[in-house]
Amino acid sequence: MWTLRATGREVGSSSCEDTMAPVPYETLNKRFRAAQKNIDRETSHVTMVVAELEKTLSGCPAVDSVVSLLDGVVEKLSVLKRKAVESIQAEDESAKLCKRRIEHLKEHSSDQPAAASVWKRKRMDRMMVEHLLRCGYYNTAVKLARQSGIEVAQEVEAAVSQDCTTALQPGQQDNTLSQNKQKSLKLKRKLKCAKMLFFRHARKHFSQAEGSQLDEVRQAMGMLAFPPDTHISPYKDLLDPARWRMLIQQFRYDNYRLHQLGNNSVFTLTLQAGLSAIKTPQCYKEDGSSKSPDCPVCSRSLNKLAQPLPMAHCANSRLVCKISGDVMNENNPPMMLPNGYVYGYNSLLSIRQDDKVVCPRTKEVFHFSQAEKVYIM
Amino acid sequence: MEQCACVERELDKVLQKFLTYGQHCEQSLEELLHYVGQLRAELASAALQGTPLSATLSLVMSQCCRKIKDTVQKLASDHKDIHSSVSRVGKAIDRNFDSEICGVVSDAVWDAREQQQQILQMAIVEHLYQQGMLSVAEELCQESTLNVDLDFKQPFLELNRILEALHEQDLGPALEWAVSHRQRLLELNSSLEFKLHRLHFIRLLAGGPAKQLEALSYARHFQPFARLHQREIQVMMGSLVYLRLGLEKSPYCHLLDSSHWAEICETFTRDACSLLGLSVESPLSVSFASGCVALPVLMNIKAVIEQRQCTGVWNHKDELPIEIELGMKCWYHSVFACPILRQQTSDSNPPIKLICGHVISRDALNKLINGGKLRCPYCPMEQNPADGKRIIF
Repeated sequence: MWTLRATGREVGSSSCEDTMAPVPYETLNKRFRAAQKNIDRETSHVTMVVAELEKTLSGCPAVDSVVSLLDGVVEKLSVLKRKAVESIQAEDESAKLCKRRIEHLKEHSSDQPAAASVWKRKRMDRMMVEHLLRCGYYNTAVKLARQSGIEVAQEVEAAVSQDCTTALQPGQQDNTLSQNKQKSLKLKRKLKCAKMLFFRHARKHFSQAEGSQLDEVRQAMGMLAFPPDTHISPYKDLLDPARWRMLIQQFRYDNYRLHQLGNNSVFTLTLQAGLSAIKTPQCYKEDGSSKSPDCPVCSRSLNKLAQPLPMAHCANSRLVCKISGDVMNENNPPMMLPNGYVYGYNSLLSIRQDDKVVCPRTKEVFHFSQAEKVYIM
Repeated sequence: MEQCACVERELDKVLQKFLTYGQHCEQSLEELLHYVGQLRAELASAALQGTPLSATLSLVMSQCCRKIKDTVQKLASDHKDIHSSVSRVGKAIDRNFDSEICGVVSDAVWDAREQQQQILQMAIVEHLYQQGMLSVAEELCQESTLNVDLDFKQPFLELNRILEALHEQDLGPALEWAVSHRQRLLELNSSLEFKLHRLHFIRLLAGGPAKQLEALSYARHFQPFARLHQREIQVMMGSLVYLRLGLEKSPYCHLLDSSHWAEICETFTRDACSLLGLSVESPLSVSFASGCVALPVLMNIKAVIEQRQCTGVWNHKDELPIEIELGMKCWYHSVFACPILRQQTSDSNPPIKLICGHVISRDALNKLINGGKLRCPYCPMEQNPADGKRIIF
């Protein structure tokens, strides 16, 4: 993800400008390398055929053979042309995608408030789409993207939608990160196979096992000796269906690392930060008396979600009247009733009847004049 | 913004290079193919005539071969040259953007229990309903096998229906709703019903003199609002004078302003949400927006802590290490921070009001006790510690 490197003065104003920029840039890089490879390969083909032609020319060739060799050259040149054009198109596309992302980021600092709020709404929708893709809810993500006018980068879709069968295919960059993943996958596969298939499978995939993986291989082999419903661990653990979930998890994480995406979606991280920044002890008072209808952390679902998160840090007091929700400051000074509860002066005025006020929280009745001013530094 | 402009400059250069290279590549290969094609035609005709390969043709052929090799190799190396521009883009990105977002808390804090993920999806569904994206919400419920009660959905479905009608300038459903909730709207001091009637009246007025009778008879609806909205009713009745002339040319042309429609949608949304006990902006949006402000600050401080190697500062996992300015509209609860100890008060350390009216926390008060007496740190008023009264905000 990209966040604008918050310089000192911009910390306040720069909100989280996140994009999935490594994906477009990495794609650009990847496509460039692929293009270079293609061009090099086709160029070498052409050079080979031309070399052959030159060789025959140095002897005394028949015209026919020269013609046919020349045909070969023409063919290879056409292939080169086609591949070059295709590759350049792909590169151009990904560079344009990068550019679009940058332009999108620039919109953030637009001066018009309406445009800025539309941008913010779109940003949130974009983050939600990414989150939904990570969770595997592809249809929802696509629907949301369509409704908000977001284009879902194919690379992202590809990054999260691979399934188990394709996972075993060797990827070019896969080697370093995926060995563990591949190991586990093979383990799983084997568990489901009958013995014959088991041996075949084991021979095919375990021959490359090395180092620490050898121990796991030994364990796996040992399983042969036990029936499937064994209670003896570690064999029992190996057969546990929960391993599938672990495997899925591990696969997901490895996949994300390959594409330089973090383990958690940006949406989740931002939400956590936001909930922490709003969370106060009052949101979690046992009797629920201090919940505020406007406070997001007090709302049903978010309250449960925010429970394990840290609270906001407040070095300065800020007081809010329980009756009106207005700020209590010099314009609306806080007043204490004899029972110790504090309300804003304006609110007390508004609930005053016949010079008396009723404390909304304890229902005790007091004279208006009994309210004392409180000084908060 | 400078950072974006920087990366954009590099990207533009790369795009330009791709363009020129692409054109050049295609062109030179075309030429080459054409040339070879010509040669081949010559040779083919020579083959037909049965003549052997002449020396000139042979020379031309070898020249052609060299040319092909040269062109093709130059193409490959030209492409390689673009690599430096591409990597400059990458460097610009690295320089100007942080590529790593680290969480505020440990990564797995919401993974640990499957339930938390479910709650998160639920929160998203609620948000989608509130934003009016009903089909997306339905799809998510299906895919995540969540069950949302009908009575939770019901008010949103209705709200959405009415809003859609309002967008099409159909006041009927909104009026129905306003009438059925009249009592509660009055408690809220909402003038929604009046505004709806007013809009309808204005629309009739816009229809010109033909609608005059209809407008007049519709005006009877204003009667219950006569006390509260007297001035506005007078304005509208006055505009009838210009009906024949056309309202656009009269001093009352502001009544025809189309912003009224946008305003009525907003008023309706606000009042409906208040009735439902919801805030206008879904809690998820507000939290997310706060997160967008909070995250860079937190990442900054994490970087500073790591740089200065004082990781001890942020081990207090219950509280964030730094205050985050969210603005007054995010002040939902009272927070009192003792001015002396600079700490939030809590149930175990509540705020105490001294006789002079100044408020400090109990721990601070205990620290200030000197020989059974207490001197207020702000006004030097001597008092008895026991006279301090616990207050609740």
